[in-house]
Amino acid sequence: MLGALLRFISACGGVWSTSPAPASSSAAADHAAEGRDGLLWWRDLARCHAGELSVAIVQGNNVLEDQCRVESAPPLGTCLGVFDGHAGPDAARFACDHLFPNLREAASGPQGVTADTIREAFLATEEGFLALVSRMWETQPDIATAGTCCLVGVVHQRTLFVASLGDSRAVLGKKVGRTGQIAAEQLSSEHNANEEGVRQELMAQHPDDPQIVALKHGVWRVKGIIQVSRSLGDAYLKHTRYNTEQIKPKFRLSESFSKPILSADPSIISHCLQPSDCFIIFASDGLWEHLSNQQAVEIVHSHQRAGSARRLIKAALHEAARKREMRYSDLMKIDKKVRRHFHDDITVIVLFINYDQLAEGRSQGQSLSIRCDLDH
Amino acid sequence: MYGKQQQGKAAAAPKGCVTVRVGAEGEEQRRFAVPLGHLKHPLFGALLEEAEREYGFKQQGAIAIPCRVDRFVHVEHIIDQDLHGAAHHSGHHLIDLDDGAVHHHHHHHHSQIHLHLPRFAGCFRA
Repeated sequence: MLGALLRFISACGGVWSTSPAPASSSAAADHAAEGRDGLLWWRDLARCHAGELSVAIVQGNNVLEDQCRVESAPPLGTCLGVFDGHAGPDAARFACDHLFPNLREAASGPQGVTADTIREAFLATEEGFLALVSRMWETQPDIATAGTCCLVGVVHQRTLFVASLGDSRAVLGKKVGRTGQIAAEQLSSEHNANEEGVRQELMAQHPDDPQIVALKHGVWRVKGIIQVSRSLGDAYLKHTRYNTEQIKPKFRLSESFSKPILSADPSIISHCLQPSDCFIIFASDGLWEHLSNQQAVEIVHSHQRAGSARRLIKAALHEAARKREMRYSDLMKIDKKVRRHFHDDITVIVLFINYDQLAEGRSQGQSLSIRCDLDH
Repeated sequence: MYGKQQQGKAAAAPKGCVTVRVGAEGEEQRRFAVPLGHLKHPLFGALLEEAEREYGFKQQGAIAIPCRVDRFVHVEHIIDQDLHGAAHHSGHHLIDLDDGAVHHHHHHHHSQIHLHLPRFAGCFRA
């Protein structure tokens, strides 16, 4: 199965790669291709402080709910964000707009970039969004049910921070000795009720509520409504005052609650980058429902850097088409009105680490700023 | 390319079609290939919404539609007429993938469902 998939991807590689130049050549980076084809947008390769990166996004929802952003400039370094919104794009767009500015502000103090300042930036963004919900509640009550997963990577000097709310995932591709092989190491923890540990955590936090998690459509959901246990937004599961008949019935809880059901406290890891750390894949769950961590790192590792993110998305869409018992070419023709029945929004950022550059403290002169322009 | 790997299971839908599994509760599911063009018709959209309410988006395999088979065929017939009028172009119709059961070496044995149901015959010839 994996073999067939990889062979297929190899076959596709020839179509996308117009230049056989070495992956890290500056020529490839300087002519970084940006483009879109229907519901797919990509930036094949761009240079940043930490090395190089490749970004792509495909729309599955009628209104795109995923957002992504890359900012690379001193003194912070390289910042990447994948925001997978739900119940509309409002929370994801807000997080995409405000999280990095909040991080810049939090890190401008004497502490600089630390896990604490990243946490501070997440909480400031949550506060900002909840304030917006409060202001708009009377005229636009649906904003109280909008939420988003947030996956943020920051490469500051030689440290990689990965902070996450929800079920997007960061996976490190690591060289295995001198074998030429690549191993996958998951860096983020997932706050999804399908994880046994997450259900245990929820039950421990809400000992008086036997219905805190419930199976619906064969998947575990918090209160039978939502899969993620931590998010930005979802005001209706954080403040009981939004649990009124003004929100859609599917989001209503039968009883009021006294403490927040979902948390906005991110899981944060810091990782000291090693020479064997090749790249990190940051992606929304739309990718991971179709590709395993190992499949994904092998696809990246066995091809040139340019177009890596797009290649991963195409591999996931081939798998989605196979599961739905149809052809990939037919899947690509499906209108965005009904595309969600075949796959979710998928966002992928692949960051290739240039260890030597980081170790020597050489930073690339130019700053980089990327934001996907689908649906804007 | 992938369909052939699934032994004993139906292969991917013919080109230009999407596979769906249709059946109400208690009814045996039947597989159909629906032309891509039907998907954005509002009537088909309503069936898909029903599927989402019943099963969510995470269902495995071909999309399951919780609808009686005869009702589904009827709705498909209306969509077909709406899109193509009385004139029929080959290759744009609903295909019953379970008709003829076993798929042999090729996938050319699908029977097309139109005119099968007597109560529709009049509409076609009008």
